[in-house]
Amino acid sequence: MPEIDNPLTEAFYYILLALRRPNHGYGVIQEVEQITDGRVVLGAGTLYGALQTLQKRGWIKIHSADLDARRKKEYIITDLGKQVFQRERARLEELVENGKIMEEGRLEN
Amino acid sequence: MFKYRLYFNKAAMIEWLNEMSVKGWAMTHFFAGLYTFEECQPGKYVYQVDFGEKMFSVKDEYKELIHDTGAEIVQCWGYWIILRKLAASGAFELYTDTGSKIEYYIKIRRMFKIVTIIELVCIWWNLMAGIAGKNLYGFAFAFLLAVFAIALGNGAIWATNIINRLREAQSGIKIEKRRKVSVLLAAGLFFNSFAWIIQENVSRSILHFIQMAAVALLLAGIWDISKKRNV
Repeated sequence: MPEIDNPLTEAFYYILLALRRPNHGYGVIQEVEQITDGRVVLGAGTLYGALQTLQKRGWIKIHSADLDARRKKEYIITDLGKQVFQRERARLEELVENGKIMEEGRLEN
Repeated sequence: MFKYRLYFNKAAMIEWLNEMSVKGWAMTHFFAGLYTFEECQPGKYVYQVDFGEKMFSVKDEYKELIHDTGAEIVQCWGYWIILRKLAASGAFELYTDTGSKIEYYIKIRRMFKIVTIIELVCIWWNLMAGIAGKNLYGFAFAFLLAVFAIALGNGAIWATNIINRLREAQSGIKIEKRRKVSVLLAAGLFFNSFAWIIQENVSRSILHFIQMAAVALLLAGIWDISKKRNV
């Protein structure tokens, strides 16, 4: 798997988060909308494209419990996807933490 | 009700379908430029167009997702997927972040580029037939195809302009504008094609008039394109 060095987009980050447990496409849209208080509403095209890309990267997979074709397809995060998510989360935490240095500067002046 | 339209600009087509919906006409079918409309409550639907992975079909996952979001697939045509949703259920946006919008327009541009190249090959083939004298209407077809090639080429430029605007939004740096191929040039080519088709059936003076008009339009088209370069 080739390494990806650029940060996750907001959509990818939230999709990975929503797929910590099995969920179908629309379920992801609803959960992301809910946890962001309606700020991030994923369009169907954006979500569909992201799900395809994330599967190709091996970060999510089809949830094996429902291979039954009549049921809605559900997805779940893979171990690799979890690693990527945690790495991104650590990076974001570092950014926020280091962001506090800005306040110190203001106090000194 | 049926209406015949040729759109090379997706945004203009969506706008038109939405206007028709506001007037109480909901689009239900599409076939090679022929749109079928059914009467509906004015403003009942909002339309969108997606670009699929395969021609004339979509995956079940895609169908499910569209259905779940309260929308429906009206028609698949080539790579285009015409969708609609009840206007009452809120805004209808398929692509909601810059990255996915850019990917969408890149796919559209690729299609326009490929079809334009195919058109250019057809033009070349018709020109050769015309020169060899095998096909009396070779030149006429070549000019007619050139009209389409310009429209398709403009489709690719339209997509490029949108991609540039989106990349500007990502980087905060302005990208130089690309110019369009003038419609006057297309009109000139069309007149030329017309003159070749009717040359045997009309008097010399009428033919000369049409040819003069064609040349004038071609020159105006070239002037128009070069003028835009300086803006």
